Amino acid sequence: MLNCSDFVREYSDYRDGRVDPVRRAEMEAHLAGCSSCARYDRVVVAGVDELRSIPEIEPSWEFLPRLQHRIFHLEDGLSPWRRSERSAMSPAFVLLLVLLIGAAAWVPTLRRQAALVELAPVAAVAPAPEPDVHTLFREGPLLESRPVLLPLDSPSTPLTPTVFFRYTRLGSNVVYRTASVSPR
Amino acid sequence: MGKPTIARTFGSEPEKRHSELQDLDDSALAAAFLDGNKRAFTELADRYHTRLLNFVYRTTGDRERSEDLVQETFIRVYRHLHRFDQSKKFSTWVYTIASNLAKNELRNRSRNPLILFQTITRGWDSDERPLEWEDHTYRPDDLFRKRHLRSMVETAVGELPEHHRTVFVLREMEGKTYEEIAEITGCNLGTVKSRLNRARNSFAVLIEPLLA
Repeated sequence: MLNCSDFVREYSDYRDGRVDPVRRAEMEAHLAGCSSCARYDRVVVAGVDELRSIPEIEPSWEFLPRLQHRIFHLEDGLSPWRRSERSAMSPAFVLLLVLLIGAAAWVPTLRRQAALVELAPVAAVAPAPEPDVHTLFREGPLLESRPVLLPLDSPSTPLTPTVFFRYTRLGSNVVYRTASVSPR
Repeated sequence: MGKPTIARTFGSEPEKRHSELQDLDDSALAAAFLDGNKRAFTELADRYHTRLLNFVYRTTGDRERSEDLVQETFIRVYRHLHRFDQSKKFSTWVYTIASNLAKNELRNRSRNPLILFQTITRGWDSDERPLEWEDHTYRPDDLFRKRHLRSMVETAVGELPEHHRTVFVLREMEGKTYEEIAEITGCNLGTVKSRLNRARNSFAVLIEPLLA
C-alpha cells in the first residue's frame, strides 16, 4: 500500500510520466484519497503554471549588434594557427611544425663532440734512463701512468727541458707511450 | 515592424538564403556553418538567444550579466563548433555551455557575497519586465495578488540551491528530458531525478502559503 512518503518520493516520476501504468494507478488512487498529497500536487502544478505565465524577458536591442561586433573582431583576430585549424592543410602544417621544432632541438646534440679532458702534468723525478729509445714508443695497453722528469742536455736547447711521459707496465716490461717536452 | 533578428543584423545576403536556412534543423545549420556559410551561425544564434537568455536569467537572477553570459555562450559556439559532435543535439550542447557559464557565475558570486539573488530581482517588475497588457476582468485586489504571487514564485525559484534550481528550470521551464538534463549538468540520471524531486518539494514548501 502506497503511503504519503512513497508518494512524495516518487512524485517527480509520476508528474513526468516516468512510472509504469500499475504504479501510476496506485499513485492516482492515493491522490484521490489523501488530501495532503492532493494539496501537494495542486501546489506544484499551480506554482509551475504561475512561473510559466511570467512573460519571457527579451534581449536588449544592442544584444545582436554587440554579438556581431564581437564575432567580427573574433574573425579579425584569428591567428594563422586558428585559421589553419579549420583548413584541410592543418595536419600537414602541424606535422611540418613538429618536425622543424624537433630538428632544431636535435642540432646541438648532433654537433656535440666527445669532450677532451686534459689533465695537468705532474713533475716527478725520473727513473734511470731507458737504454733503448725504440722501447719508448712501443705500443701496448696502458696499465699505469706516471709522469717523469728527464733532464736532457743538448747544444740546441739552452735550457734543460723537462720531458713528461707516461709509461705502461706490461708484466715485467715497461712500455712508454706518450711524451711531451717543455723548457725548464 | 518585426522583431530584429540576428539574421537581419548580420551581413547583406539575399533574404532567400535566410529563408532556406530557416528550414534547416540545428544539425544541418551547424554543418552549413562548418562548410563556410556564416549565415548559418546567425540563424542558430537567432533561434537560441532568447531561450538561453531566459534560462541563464532564471538560473542567475541577473539580467545584465545574463546577456553577457549568453554573448559568451555564442562566442564559444562560434569558436568551437568544429568540435561539436553532430550526432548529438545542438540544443543540449549549447545549453551545456550556457549552464556551465551560469554555474561559474554563481560560484564567483558566492565568493563575493555582496550580490544576492533577492537584491537583483528586487524592483524588477516595474523597470525591466516587458510591457504586458493586463486583463481588466480581474479586480484590483486580484491583480495585486497575481503580481505578488508571480513575484513570490520567482523568488521561490531563486531560493532553491543552485544545483536544484538548474535542474528545476531545465525541466519545468525549458521542457528538457531527464536524459538531456543529465547531459547538460554532467550528472547521472539518478542524481537528476533526486535533485528534481527535492527542488519540487522545496518549491512547494515555499509557495504553499501563497496558494492557500
